Amino acid sequence: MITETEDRLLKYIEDRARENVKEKRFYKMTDVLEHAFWISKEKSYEILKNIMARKNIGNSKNDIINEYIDMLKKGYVSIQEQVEVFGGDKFSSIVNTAEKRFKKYKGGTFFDGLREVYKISDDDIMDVTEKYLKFLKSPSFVFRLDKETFHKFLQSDLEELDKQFDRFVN
Amino acid sequence: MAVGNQELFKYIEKRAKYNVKDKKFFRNTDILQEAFLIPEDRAYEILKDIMSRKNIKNTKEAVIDEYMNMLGYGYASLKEQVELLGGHKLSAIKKEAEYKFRKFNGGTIIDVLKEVYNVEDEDMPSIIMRYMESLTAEEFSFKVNINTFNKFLEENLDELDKQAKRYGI
Repeated sequence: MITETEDRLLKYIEDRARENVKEKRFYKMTDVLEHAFWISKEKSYEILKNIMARKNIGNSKNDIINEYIDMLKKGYVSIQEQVEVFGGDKFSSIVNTAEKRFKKYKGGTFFDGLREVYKISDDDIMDVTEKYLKFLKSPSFVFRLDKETFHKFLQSDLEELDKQFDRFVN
Repeated sequence: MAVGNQELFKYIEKRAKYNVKDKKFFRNTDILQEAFLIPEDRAYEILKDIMSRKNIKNTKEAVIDEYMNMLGYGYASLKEQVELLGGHKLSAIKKEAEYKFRKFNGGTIIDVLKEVYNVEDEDMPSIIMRYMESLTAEEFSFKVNINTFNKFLEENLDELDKQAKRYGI
């Protein structure tokens, strides 16, 4: 059994791994592991040996990523450590920082919130807004723009997650 | 005054002020003509009526306030005055939107604007920006729905006119 947080982090690792190898071609299976999960060459060989000793897998990017995710799920490797390799749990970090900054927020428009709480520059604001609005779907004309859905949007878009992480770090 | 009439009354006042905004006038009849889109001879008649009863200032505000006052007392029909101003666009827009929503299969806010309200791609950023800016809240939580959109149109006559145009009203 894995906890809710582990489940979320596992999903994050998977999203990140797929994003890392998107539109790239590889000749060796160890290269896939290195690129997708940012693991060292030696460690990649070790993992691959371990896989081969247990089963036959196809040699596509997806086969390798799926197998390694499965190993993380089964506890072969620590989920937490893999997340650290990726630079930590950016999502939680963003949620916590936003929470802190919201305490000083006095209200205003949606754009005020993006500017003052999320430190989004005027150059980025329309782009983020458009992407966020495209993320929200509803069977009718009933939407609510708020923290929860904005954070979900960031979670769904690694590029925006990274950008938001940088905004809070700098 | 009945609720429906109050709505018309407010709309007339808003439209009249909007019609004369940033314009200068030399004659009081010109103000009446521009603000309420009434013909010249009728504007003279109204002005005569005003002058025979009281002295008012020569400003846009004073003339508009006085005629609104007269409308409030039933001097002329609110409905007819609204017709002179091109009809009650918001009700017509609401009806058309309701009809188009029946064929809407869901999607994003942008899909709603595109498919239900016929907003063109080039107008999209500006309408989104203005609509979002019209919503304020103490917390970071904003309702984007038919009611707040209609309110946005109601408060911004230029957006109301643009929407009426999109619907061919």
